Amino acid sequence: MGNLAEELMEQLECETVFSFSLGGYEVNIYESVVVTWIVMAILILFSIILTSNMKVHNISKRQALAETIVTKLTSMVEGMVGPHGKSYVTYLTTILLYIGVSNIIGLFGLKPPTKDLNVTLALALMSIILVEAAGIYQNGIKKWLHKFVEPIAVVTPINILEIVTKPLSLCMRLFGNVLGAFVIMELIKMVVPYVLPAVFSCYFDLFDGLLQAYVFVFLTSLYISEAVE
Amino acid sequence: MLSISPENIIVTVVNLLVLFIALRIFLFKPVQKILEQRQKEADKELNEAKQQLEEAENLKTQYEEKIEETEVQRKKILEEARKNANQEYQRIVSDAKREAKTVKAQAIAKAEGEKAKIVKKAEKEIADIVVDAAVKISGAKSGEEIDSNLYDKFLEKAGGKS
Repeated sequence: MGNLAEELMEQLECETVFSFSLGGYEVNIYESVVVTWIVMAILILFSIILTSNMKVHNISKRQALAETIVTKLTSMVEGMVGPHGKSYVTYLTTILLYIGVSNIIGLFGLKPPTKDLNVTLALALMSIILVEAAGIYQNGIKKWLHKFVEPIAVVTPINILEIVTKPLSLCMRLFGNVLGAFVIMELIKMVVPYVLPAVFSCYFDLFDGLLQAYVFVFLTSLYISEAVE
Repeated sequence: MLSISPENIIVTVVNLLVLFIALRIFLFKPVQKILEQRQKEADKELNEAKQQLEEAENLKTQYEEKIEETEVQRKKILEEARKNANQEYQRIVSDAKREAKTVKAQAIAKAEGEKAKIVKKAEKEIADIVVDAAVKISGAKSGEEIDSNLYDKFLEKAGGKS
Protein backbone atom coordinates (compact mmCIF):
# COMPACT_ATOMS: atom_id res chain seq x y z
CA MET A 1 0.00 0.00 0.00
CA GLY A 2 2.85 2.34 0.76
CA ASN A 3 4.11 1.65 -2.68
CA LEU A 4 0.80 2.78 -4.15
CA ALA A 5 0.76 6.00 -2.20
CA GLU A 6 4.29 6.78 -3.25
CA GLU A 7 3.50 6.10 -6.87
CA LEU A 8 0.42 8.28 -6.72
CA MET A 9 2.35 11.12 -5.17
CA GLU A 10 4.89 10.79 -7.90
CA GLN A 11 2.21 10.91 -10.55
CA LEU A 12 0.65 13.96 -8.95
CA GLU A 13 3.88 15.83 -8.60
CA CYS A 14 4.18 18.77 -10.89
CA GLU A 15 7.49 18.34 -12.49
CA THR A 16 9.60 21.28 -13.42
CA VAL A 17 10.36 20.89 -17.08
CA PHE A 18 12.89 23.67 -17.29
CA SER A 19 13.90 26.69 -15.39
CA PHE A 20 15.60 29.94 -16.17
CA SER A 21 16.57 32.95 -14.19
CA LEU A 22 14.84 36.23 -14.81
CA GLY A 23 16.56 39.14 -13.15
CA GLY A 24 18.08 36.98 -10.47
CA TYR A 25 14.77 35.22 -9.83
CA GLU A 26 14.59 31.52 -10.61
CA VAL A 27 11.57 30.76 -12.78
CA ASN A 28 10.52 27.13 -12.83
CA ILE A 29 8.25 26.23 -15.69
CA TYR A 30 6.00 23.34 -14.76
CA GLU A 31 4.85 20.51 -16.93
CA SER A 32 1.31 21.87 -16.89
CA VAL A 33 2.44 25.02 -18.66
CA VAL A 34 4.21 23.03 -21.34
CA VAL A 35 1.15 20.85 -21.84
CA THR A 36 -0.91 24.03 -22.01
CA TRP A 37 1.31 25.12 -24.86
CA ILE A 38 0.63 21.84 -26.58
CA VAL A 39 -3.12 22.26 -26.04
CA MET A 40 -2.88 25.78 -27.39
CA ALA A 41 -0.93 24.56 -30.40
CA ILE A 42 -3.53 21.87 -31.07
CA LEU A 43 -6.42 24.31 -30.79
CA ILE A 44 -4.82 27.02 -32.89
CA LEU A 45 -3.64 24.58 -35.53
CA PHE A 46 -7.09 23.04 -35.73
CA SER A 47 -8.69 26.46 -36.08
CA ILE A 48 -6.30 27.46 -38.82
CA ILE A 49 -6.88 24.21 -40.70
CA LEU A 50 -10.64 24.36 -40.27
CA THR A 51 -11.05 28.00 -41.19
CA SER A 52 -8.62 28.16 -44.07
CA ASN A 53 -10.12 28.94 -47.44
CA MET A 54 -13.55 29.83 -46.11
CA LYS A 55 -16.26 30.57 -48.61
CA VAL A 56 -19.82 31.84 -48.45
CA HIS A 57 -21.16 29.26 -50.87
CA ASN A 58 -20.26 25.67 -51.66
CA ILE A 59 -18.57 25.19 -48.33
CA SER A 60 -16.18 22.35 -47.72
CA LYS A 61 -16.67 19.76 -45.01
CA ARG A 62 -13.91 21.39 -42.97
CA GLN A 63 -15.69 24.70 -43.04
CA ALA A 64 -18.99 23.07 -42.19
CA LEU A 65 -17.33 21.49 -39.17
CA ALA A 66 -15.81 24.80 -38.10
CA GLU A 67 -19.13 26.58 -38.49
CA THR A 68 -20.96 23.87 -36.59
CA ILE A 69 -18.47 23.92 -33.71
CA VAL A 70 -18.47 27.69 -33.43
CA THR A 71 -22.22 28.17 -33.75
CA LYS A 72 -23.09 25.29 -31.41
CA LEU A 73 -20.62 26.30 -28.72
CA THR A 74 -21.35 30.01 -28.90
CA SER A 75 -25.10 29.47 -28.85
CA MET A 76 -24.70 27.18 -25.85
CA VAL A 77 -22.59 29.76 -24.00
CA GLU A 78 -24.91 32.54 -25.08
CA GLY A 79 -27.80 30.68 -23.55
CA MET A 80 -25.92 30.46 -20.27
CA VAL A 81 -24.57 33.99 -20.08
CA GLY A 82 -27.79 35.70 -21.09
CA PRO A 83 -28.51 38.56 -23.44
CA HIS A 84 -26.42 41.16 -21.55
CA GLY A 85 -23.21 39.16 -21.59
CA LYS A 86 -22.83 38.69 -25.34
CA SER A 87 -19.39 40.29 -25.40
CA TYR A 88 -17.96 37.61 -23.08
CA VAL A 89 -19.09 34.68 -25.19
CA THR A 90 -15.85 34.38 -27.13
CA TYR A 91 -13.73 34.25 -23.98
CA LEU A 92 -16.02 31.73 -22.32
CA THR A 93 -16.02 29.53 -25.40
CA THR A 94 -12.22 29.68 -25.49
CA ILE A 95 -12.09 28.57 -21.84
CA LEU A 96 -14.58 25.80 -22.60
CA LEU A 97 -12.41 24.53 -25.45
CA TYR A 98 -9.23 24.82 -23.40
CA ILE A 99 -10.52 22.97 -20.33
CA GLY A 100 -12.25 20.38 -22.51
CA VAL A 101 -9.13 19.59 -24.51
CA SER A 102 -6.96 19.76 -21.38
CA ASN A 103 -9.12 17.23 -19.57
CA ILE A 104 -9.16 14.70 -22.36
CA ILE A 105 -5.51 15.10 -23.28
CA GLY A 106 -4.80 12.51 -20.58
CA LEU A 107 -6.03 9.96 -23.08
CA PHE A 108 -2.97 10.70 -25.19
CA GLY A 109 -0.56 10.08 -22.36
CA LEU A 110 0.00 13.67 -21.35
CA LYS A 111 -0.65 15.00 -17.88
CA PRO A 112 -3.79 17.16 -17.97
CA PRO A 113 -2.85 20.75 -17.09
CA THR A 114 -6.04 21.03 -15.06
CA LYS A 115 -4.53 18.55 -12.63
CA ASP A 116 -2.15 21.30 -11.59
CA LEU A 117 -3.60 23.65 -9.00
CA ASN A 118 -1.76 26.60 -10.54
CA VAL A 119 -3.66 26.26 -13.80
CA THR A 120 -7.08 26.03 -12.18
CA LEU A 121 -6.11 28.91 -9.94
CA ALA A 122 -5.18 30.98 -12.97
CA LEU A 123 -8.48 30.09 -14.62
CA ALA A 124 -10.45 31.00 -11.51
CA LEU A 125 -8.57 34.27 -11.10
CA MET A 126 -9.33 35.23 -14.67
CA SER A 127 -12.96 34.29 -14.17
CA ILE A 128 -13.43 36.42 -11.07
CA ILE A 129 -11.61 39.35 -12.64
CA LEU A 130 -13.85 39.03 -15.68
CA VAL A 131 -16.97 38.78 -13.51
CA GLU A 132 -16.18 41.85 -11.46
CA ALA A 133 -14.94 43.78 -14.49
CA ALA A 134 -18.16 42.94 -16.31
CA GLY A 135 -20.16 44.14 -13.33
CA ILE A 136 -18.26 47.43 -13.14
CA TYR A 137 -18.34 47.95 -16.89
CA GLN A 138 -22.05 47.26 -17.17
CA ASN A 139 -23.37 49.04 -14.10
CA GLY A 140 -20.75 51.62 -13.22
CA ILE A 141 -18.65 51.56 -10.09
CA LYS A 142 -21.36 53.08 -7.87
CA LYS A 143 -23.96 50.49 -8.64
CA TRP A 144 -21.35 47.75 -8.51
CA LEU A 145 -20.42 48.79 -4.98
CA HIS A 146 -24.08 49.09 -4.09
CA LYS A 147 -24.59 45.48 -5.04
CA PHE A 148 -22.58 44.47 -1.99
CA VAL A 149 -25.28 45.75 0.35
CA GLU A 150 -28.08 44.05 -1.52
CA PRO A 151 -30.54 42.76 -0.56
CA ILE A 152 -29.81 44.01 2.98
CA ALA A 153 -26.74 45.55 4.57
CA VAL A 154 -26.23 42.63 6.92
CA VAL A 155 -25.10 40.36 4.09
CA THR A 156 -22.31 42.70 3.01
CA PRO A 157 -19.51 40.62 4.57
CA ILE A 158 -20.86 37.54 2.84
CA ASN A 159 -21.01 39.39 -0.44
CA ILE A 160 -17.43 40.51 -0.03
CA LEU A 161 -16.43 37.00 0.93
CA GLU A 162 -18.03 35.79 -2.29
CA ILE A 163 -15.30 37.52 -4.27
CA VAL A 164 -12.95 34.98 -2.75
CA THR A 165 -15.23 31.98 -2.46
CA LYS A 166 -16.50 32.09 -6.02
CA PRO A 167 -13.11 31.65 -7.69
CA LEU A 168 -11.94 29.35 -4.93
CA SER A 169 -14.88 27.01 -5.49
CA LEU A 170 -14.39 27.16 -9.25
CA CYS A 171 -10.70 26.41 -8.90
CA MET A 172 -11.05 23.66 -6.33
CA ARG A 173 -13.98 22.00 -8.06
CA LEU A 174 -12.09 21.63 -11.31
CA PHE A 175 -8.87 20.63 -9.62
CA GLY A 176 -10.56 18.20 -7.25
CA ASN A 177 -12.57 16.54 -9.99
CA VAL A 178 -9.62 15.99 -12.25
CA LEU A 179 -7.46 14.88 -9.33
CA GLY A 180 -10.14 12.56 -7.98
CA ALA A 181 -10.75 11.05 -11.38
CA PHE A 182 -7.03 10.51 -11.78
CA VAL A 183 -6.66 8.83 -8.38
CA ILE A 184 -9.62 6.55 -8.97
CA MET A 185 -8.30 5.62 -12.39
CA GLU A 186 -4.91 4.78 -10.92
CA LEU A 187 -6.55 2.62 -8.25
CA ILE A 188 -8.64 0.79 -10.80
CA LYS A 189 -5.56 0.21 -12.90
CA MET A 190 -3.82 -1.34 -9.90
CA VAL A 191 -6.74 -3.64 -9.08
CA VAL A 192 -7.76 -4.67 -12.59
CA PRO A 193 -5.12 -3.79 -15.16
CA TYR A 194 -7.12 -4.96 -18.21
CA VAL A 195 -10.39 -3.89 -19.90
CA LEU A 196 -12.01 -2.30 -16.85
CA PRO A 197 -9.80 0.83 -16.88
CA ALA A 198 -10.80 1.48 -20.49
CA VAL A 199 -14.49 1.43 -19.52
CA PHE A 200 -13.98 3.72 -16.56
CA SER A 201 -11.68 5.94 -18.58
CA CYS A 202 -14.61 6.70 -20.87
CA TYR A 203 -16.41 8.13 -17.88
CA PHE A 204 -13.62 9.79 -15.92
CA ASP A 205 -11.48 11.09 -18.75
CA LEU A 206 -14.02 11.84 -21.43
CA PHE A 207 -17.39 12.44 -19.81
CA ASP A 208 -16.24 13.94 -16.54
CA GLY A 209 -13.56 15.99 -18.26
CA LEU A 210 -16.02 17.59 -20.66
CA LEU A 211 -18.60 17.92 -17.91
CA GLN A 212 -16.17 19.83 -15.72
CA ALA A 213 -15.32 22.13 -18.60
CA TYR A 214 -19.02 22.76 -19.04
CA VAL A 215 -19.56 23.30 -15.31
CA PHE A 216 -16.68 25.75 -15.06
CA VAL A 217 -17.95 27.81 -17.97
CA PHE A 218 -21.53 27.50 -16.80
CA LEU A 219 -20.73 28.86 -13.35
CA THR A 220 -18.60 31.68 -14.73
CA SER A 221 -21.44 32.58 -17.11
CA LEU A 222 -23.85 32.50 -14.22
CA TYR A 223 -21.68 34.88 -12.21
CA ILE A 224 -21.33 37.18 -15.21
CA SER A 225 -25.04 37.23 -15.93
CA GLU A 226 -25.65 37.95 -12.25
CA ALA A 227 -23.11 40.75 -12.29
CA VAL A 228 -24.37 42.47 -15.43
CA GLU A 229 -28.09 42.28 -14.80
CA MET B 1 1.15 18.92 -5.70
CA LEU B 2 -0.53 21.70 -3.85
CA SER B 3 2.37 24.03 -4.26
CA ILE B 4 1.33 27.40 -5.53
CA SER B 5 3.85 29.02 -7.77
CA PRO B 6 2.99 32.59 -8.82
CA GLU B 7 5.20 32.50 -11.88
CA ASN B 8 3.30 29.50 -13.26
CA ILE B 9 0.00 31.19 -12.55
CA ILE B 10 1.15 34.27 -14.42
CA VAL B 11 2.46 32.21 -17.32
CA THR B 12 -0.84 30.32 -17.47
CA VAL B 13 -2.80 33.57 -17.47
CA VAL B 14 -0.64 34.83 -20.31
CA ASN B 15 -1.11 31.52 -22.09
CA LEU B 16 -4.87 31.76 -21.78
CA LEU B 17 -4.93 35.32 -23.00
CA VAL B 18 -2.79 34.37 -25.97
CA LEU B 19 -5.06 31.41 -26.67
CA PHE B 20 -8.11 33.66 -26.40
CA ILE B 21 -6.69 36.17 -28.86
CA ALA B 22 -5.44 33.46 -31.22
CA LEU B 23 -8.77 31.64 -31.29
CA ARG B 24 -10.52 34.94 -31.77
CA ILE B 25 -8.35 35.66 -34.78
CA PHE B 26 -8.24 32.18 -36.26
CA LEU B 27 -11.57 30.64 -35.31
CA PHE B 28 -14.32 32.96 -34.14
CA LYS B 29 -13.74 36.00 -36.32
CA PRO B 30 -13.51 34.17 -39.67
CA VAL B 31 -16.50 31.99 -38.96
CA GLN B 32 -18.56 34.90 -37.74
CA LYS B 33 -17.51 36.92 -40.76
CA ILE B 34 -18.62 34.16 -43.10
CA LEU B 35 -21.89 33.73 -41.24
CA GLU B 36 -22.52 37.46 -41.37
CA GLN B 37 -21.77 37.54 -45.06
CA ARG B 38 -24.14 34.70 -45.64
CA GLN B 39 -26.80 36.40 -43.56
CA LYS B 40 -26.31 39.60 -45.51
CA GLU B 41 -26.59 37.77 -48.78
CA ALA B 42 -29.70 35.96 -47.65
CA ASP B 43 -31.23 39.23 -46.52
CA LYS B 44 -30.33 40.82 -49.82
CA GLU B 45 -31.85 37.99 -51.78
CA LEU B 46 -34.95 38.06 -49.67
CA ASN B 47 -35.29 41.79 -50.21
CA GLU B 48 -34.76 41.38 -53.92
CA ALA B 49 -37.35 38.67 -54.07
CA LYS B 50 -39.77 40.86 -52.18
CA GLN B 51 -39.09 43.73 -54.54
CA GLN B 52 -39.57 41.54 -57.56
CA LEU B 53 -42.78 40.22 -56.14
CA GLU B 54 -43.98 43.75 -55.62
CA GLU B 55 -42.99 44.68 -59.15
CA ALA B 56 -44.76 41.66 -60.52
CA GLU B 57 -47.82 42.56 -58.49
CA ASN B 58 -47.70 46.09 -59.89
CA LEU B 59 -47.33 44.83 -63.42
CA LYS B 60 -50.20 42.46 -62.87
CA THR B 61 -52.52 45.23 -61.74
CA GLN B 62 -51.35 47.36 -64.64
CA TYR B 63 -52.08 44.60 -67.10
CA GLU B 64 -55.41 43.93 -65.53
CA GLU B 65 -56.30 47.58 -65.85
CA LYS B 66 -55.18 47.56 -69.43
CA ILE B 67 -57.22 44.48 -70.19
CA GLU B 68 -60.25 46.07 -68.61
CA GLU B 69 -59.70 49.21 -70.61
CA THR B 70 -59.38 47.19 -73.78
CA GLU B 71 -62.56 45.38 -72.96
CA VAL B 72 -64.38 48.65 -72.53
CA GLN B 73 -62.95 49.97 -75.75
CA ARG B 74 -63.84 46.81 -77.56
CA LYS B 75 -67.42 47.10 -76.38
CA LYS B 76 -67.53 50.71 -77.42
CA ILE B 77 -66.18 49.97 -80.87
CA LEU B 78 -68.53 47.08 -81.28
CA GLU B 79 -71.49 49.18 -80.29
CA GLU B 80 -70.48 51.92 -82.65
CA ALA B 81 -70.06 49.44 -85.43
CA ARG B 82 -73.45 48.00 -84.69
CA LYS B 83 -74.96 51.44 -84.69
CA ASN B 84 -73.28 52.29 -87.98
CA ALA B 85 -74.38 49.04 -89.49
CA ASN B 86 -77.91 49.68 -88.39
CA GLN B 87 -77.87 53.13 -89.90
CA GLU B 88 -76.44 51.79 -93.10
CA TYR B 89 -79.05 49.11 -93.13
CA GLN B 90 -81.80 51.63 -92.61
CA ARG B 91 -80.38 53.83 -95.29
CA ILE B 92 -80.08 51.00 -97.77
CA VAL B 93 -83.57 49.79 -97.06
CA SER B 94 -85.08 53.24 -97.40
CA ASP B 95 -83.13 53.82 -100.59
CA ALA B 96 -84.34 50.56 -101.91
CA LYS B 97 -87.89 51.40 -100.97
CA ARG B 98 -87.68 54.79 -102.60
CA GLU B 99 -86.21 53.35 -105.73
CA ALA B 100 -88.80 50.66 -105.80
CA LYS B 101 -91.46 53.31 -105.50
CA THR B 102 -90.09 55.35 -108.42
CA VAL B 103 -89.70 52.25 -110.53
CA LYS B 104 -93.24 51.27 -109.74
CA ALA B 105 -94.55 54.74 -110.49
CA GLN B 106 -92.66 54.82 -113.77
CA ALA B 107 -93.93 51.42 -114.67
CA ILE B 108 -97.47 52.44 -113.86
CA ALA B 109 -97.14 55.63 -115.90
CA LYS B 110 -95.67 53.72 -118.78
CA ALA B 111 -98.39 51.14 -118.60
CA GLU B 112 -101.04 53.87 -118.49
CA GLY B 113 -99.53 55.55 -121.54
CA GLU B 114 -99.42 52.25 -123.37
CA LYS B 115 -102.96 51.55 -122.42
CA ALA B 116 -104.14 54.95 -123.64
CA LYS B 117 -102.27 54.43 -126.88
CA ILE B 118 -103.79 51.02 -127.40
CA VAL B 119 -107.25 52.34 -126.62
CA LYS B 120 -106.82 55.16 -129.03
CA LYS B 121 -105.60 52.81 -131.68
CA ALA B 122 -108.43 50.46 -131.02
CA GLU B 123 -110.93 53.28 -131.15
CA LYS B 124 -109.60 54.38 -134.46
CA GLU B 125 -109.65 50.91 -135.85
CA ILE B 126 -113.14 50.29 -134.59
CA ALA B 127 -114.28 53.56 -136.08
CA ASP B 128 -112.73 52.57 -139.35
CA ILE B 129 -114.41 49.20 -139.18
CA VAL B 130 -117.72 50.80 -138.33
CA VAL B 131 -117.33 53.25 -141.13
CA ASP B 132 -116.45 50.47 -143.47
CA ALA B 133 -119.37 48.46 -142.34
CA ALA B 134 -121.73 51.40 -142.59
CA VAL B 135 -120.49 52.14 -146.02
CA LYS B 136 -121.01 48.57 -147.01
CA ILE B 137 -124.50 48.53 -145.54
CA SER B 138 -125.73 51.86 -146.82
CA GLY B 139 -124.02 51.57 -150.14
CA ALA B 140 -122.27 54.33 -151.92
CA LYS B 141 -125.17 56.82 -151.61
CA SER B 142 -124.68 58.14 -148.21
CA GLY B 143 -122.32 61.03 -148.01
CA GLU B 144 -119.98 62.27 -145.50
CA GLU B 145 -122.67 63.64 -143.19
CA ILE B 146 -124.27 60.24 -142.70
CA ASP B 147 -120.93 58.79 -141.90
CA SER B 148 -120.15 61.08 -139.16
CA ASN B 149 -123.67 60.79 -137.80
CA LEU B 150 -123.47 57.10 -137.67
CA TYR B 151 -120.11 57.28 -136.09
CA ASP B 152 -121.26 59.61 -133.42
CA LYS B 153 -124.27 57.46 -132.67
CA PHE B 154 -122.14 54.44 -132.34
CA LEU B 155 -119.79 56.18 -130.08
CA GLU B 156 -122.61 57.38 -127.92
CA LYS B 157 -123.93 53.89 -127.60
CA ALA B 158 -120.59 52.36 -126.96
CA GLY B 159 -119.64 55.11 -124.44
CA GLY B 160 -122.93 54.80 -122.60
CA LYS B 161 -122.65 51.09 -122.33
CA SER B 162 -119.08 50.94 -121.32
